[in-house]
Amino acid sequence: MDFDQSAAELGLKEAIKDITSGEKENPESDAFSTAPLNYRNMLLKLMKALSPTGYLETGVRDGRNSTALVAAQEELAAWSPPIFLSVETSSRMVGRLLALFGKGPECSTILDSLLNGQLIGSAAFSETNASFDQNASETRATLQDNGYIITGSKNWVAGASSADLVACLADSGGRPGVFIIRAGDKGFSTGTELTSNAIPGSGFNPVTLRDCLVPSDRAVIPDDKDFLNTVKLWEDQILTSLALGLSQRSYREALSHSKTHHSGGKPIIAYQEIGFKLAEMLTLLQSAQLLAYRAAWADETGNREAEVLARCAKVFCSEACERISTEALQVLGTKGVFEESLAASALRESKFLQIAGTSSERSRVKIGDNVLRDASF
Amino acid sequence: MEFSFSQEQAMFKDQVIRFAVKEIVPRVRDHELKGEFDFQSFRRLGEFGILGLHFPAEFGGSDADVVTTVLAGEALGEAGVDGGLTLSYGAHTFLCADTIFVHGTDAQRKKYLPKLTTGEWIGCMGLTEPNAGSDVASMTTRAERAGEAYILNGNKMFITNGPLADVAVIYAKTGKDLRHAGISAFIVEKGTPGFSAGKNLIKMGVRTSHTSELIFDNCMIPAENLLGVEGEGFLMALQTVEWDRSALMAPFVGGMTYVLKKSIAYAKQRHQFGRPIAEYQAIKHKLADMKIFIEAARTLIYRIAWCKDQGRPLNHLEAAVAKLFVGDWSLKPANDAVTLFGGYGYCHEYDVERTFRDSRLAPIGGGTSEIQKKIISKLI
Repeated sequence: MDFDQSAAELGLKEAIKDITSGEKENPESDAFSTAPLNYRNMLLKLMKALSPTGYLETGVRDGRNSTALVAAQEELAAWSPPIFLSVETSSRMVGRLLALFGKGPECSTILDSLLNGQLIGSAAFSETNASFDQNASETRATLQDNGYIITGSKNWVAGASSADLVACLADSGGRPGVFIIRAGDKGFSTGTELTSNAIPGSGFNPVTLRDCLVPSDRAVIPDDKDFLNTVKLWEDQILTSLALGLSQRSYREALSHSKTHHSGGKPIIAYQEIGFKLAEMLTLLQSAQLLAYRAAWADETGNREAEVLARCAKVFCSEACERISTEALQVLGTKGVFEESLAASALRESKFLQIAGTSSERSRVKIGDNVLRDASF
Repeated sequence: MEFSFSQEQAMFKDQVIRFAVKEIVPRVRDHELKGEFDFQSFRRLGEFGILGLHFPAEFGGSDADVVTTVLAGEALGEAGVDGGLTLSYGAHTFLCADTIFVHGTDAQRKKYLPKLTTGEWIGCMGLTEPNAGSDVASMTTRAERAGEAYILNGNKMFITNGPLADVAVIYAKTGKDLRHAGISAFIVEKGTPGFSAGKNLIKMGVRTSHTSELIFDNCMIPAENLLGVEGEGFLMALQTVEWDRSALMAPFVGGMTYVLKKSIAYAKQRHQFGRPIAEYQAIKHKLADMKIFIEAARTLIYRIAWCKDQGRPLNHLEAAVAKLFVGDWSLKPANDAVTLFGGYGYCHEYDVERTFRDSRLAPIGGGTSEIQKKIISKLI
């Protein structure tokens, strides 16, 4: 047992801090009004800076989470939630898919480019009428002589308009597969960016695939029947770290305001009704952090409870984020309501966290299933 | 960061669970119903070594580290030992015996610790007063020096083990006009003229732990019964906070694991509308919330224990965070368990109503949730 952060944990986190401290604070506030191209340029610049630190490839080739990874993720997520989401989707989602399930030189080449920060990847898994949870996909991949023909549509694809390639989930003769589609491939098109309350900047788009040909060496069809569950857990872990980053933003903003805003001749933190809210927020934040770190440690060490801890962390951290952010907004008072604040955006995004990946409801069912199965109970 | 227990720690936890299931748990329900302190079980805790786990062997202990000690508390709760017995153990070992161990003279240690670690004697600690709870410095119990003695006058309230204790660590004011700096600690033995305990207070939960007022009416004790030096009593009380936030909280968390196990077993065997209720989403959600609470809470209290093992000064912020979380967040899963059991959950024989009542103490005892929030808000 050791509750101190190791040199490796601190090192990666400090590297992220060094890179982001030289950048504008809250860069996504600009991204609200900028074109996808500007966002893409901002993202590419950051990913190139991140690559030498080892952040992009941490846990990619072994598929494992780690406490060092969470420490660094938390730092990046607190700096910019949309950039964090884009970076993580590219490396920890698409990168892991290629590293662990991809076969052939083309997959290796793409993976190297993603981890060098030269390419941006996006993941198209969700569909309007099919639940990823149920491993269902109405998008079809049909094998032909020169590759797979993909037909169907995907929705809520984060960062599709700024990505170089999209990893698209499709049903291939009853087996789920992921097909790497390049932005310019014939038959692939990105729809208009969806108006969203969550994670502005990275953008969510529908994508359409109409007889889109994907060469066989860009098809990832794992033998592992459980691979979609694995991918879902990767996504959940990213969202867990995002929840920590957003919670930190809300807490810090409220704390800062409570010390500088005066009422009745003293800073408002001096009033119990404010100070106690901040105490509750910090309690939730620290509880969430420790649970997320422990879940990552369990995964890193192959602990038998790794999956259930990851699910517990996802539910707890995302719901703690909502509670912390709503209290932060209350502490900010009228300022929080009439001006766009970090807490206000975190509050909106906390709902995204509870829905995206494995929803809180499905997670609870899976945690329940796990404890019902667990022989130690 | 690294969150594993050593093999020895994990094995010891299993041993404690097996011991408690066999020797203590069968006696819990009856004692709890009658509100009786279970002397036999308390002494068995002593024989097994739990009462003195972290003390040196020369005083009857096992030299265990703090994490192991906390694991033992969690194991007792997980086995199904009621919150009353574990609270009595906590007050006895951590609030009384440990204060004597840390601040006592060699003579005091040799005199009291061997009897306390075996359970031959029962210890308690008197800090709270009828009109001085969270505001410790406003205590009115006085200790006045009279030659080679001190004369104590005043009352203590809500004292765990009060009616049963053979020895008490009592905090009293020696500096009339001082607040915290005027508080000193004393050892008072049962039978000392002028020292008496009130009737056992009938409580909502933790009923096998007996609680009472302590009355000091010109109670004369030898000056050698002063613990440490005059004016350091408040610091001594503060040092028990580490135990309050770890070892005393651990049985609550372990108790929630016990409740989760009971709930799982019940949900599998209870059928409604032709299938076990375990198959319904609403039931799974409740089980999940229990599990989430347990895992979040465990990590917080083990952080306090681990820091103490490293010899670090108490981090008041982290200690308050742990206490606040366990205190406030344990209520919902405890309540959920009662609901999950339906009508049976309201009945004594299924234990979950007992855990529900016991858990209500968590946000009150050892520093209320409001005090934890006050501490945190001052430190951030």
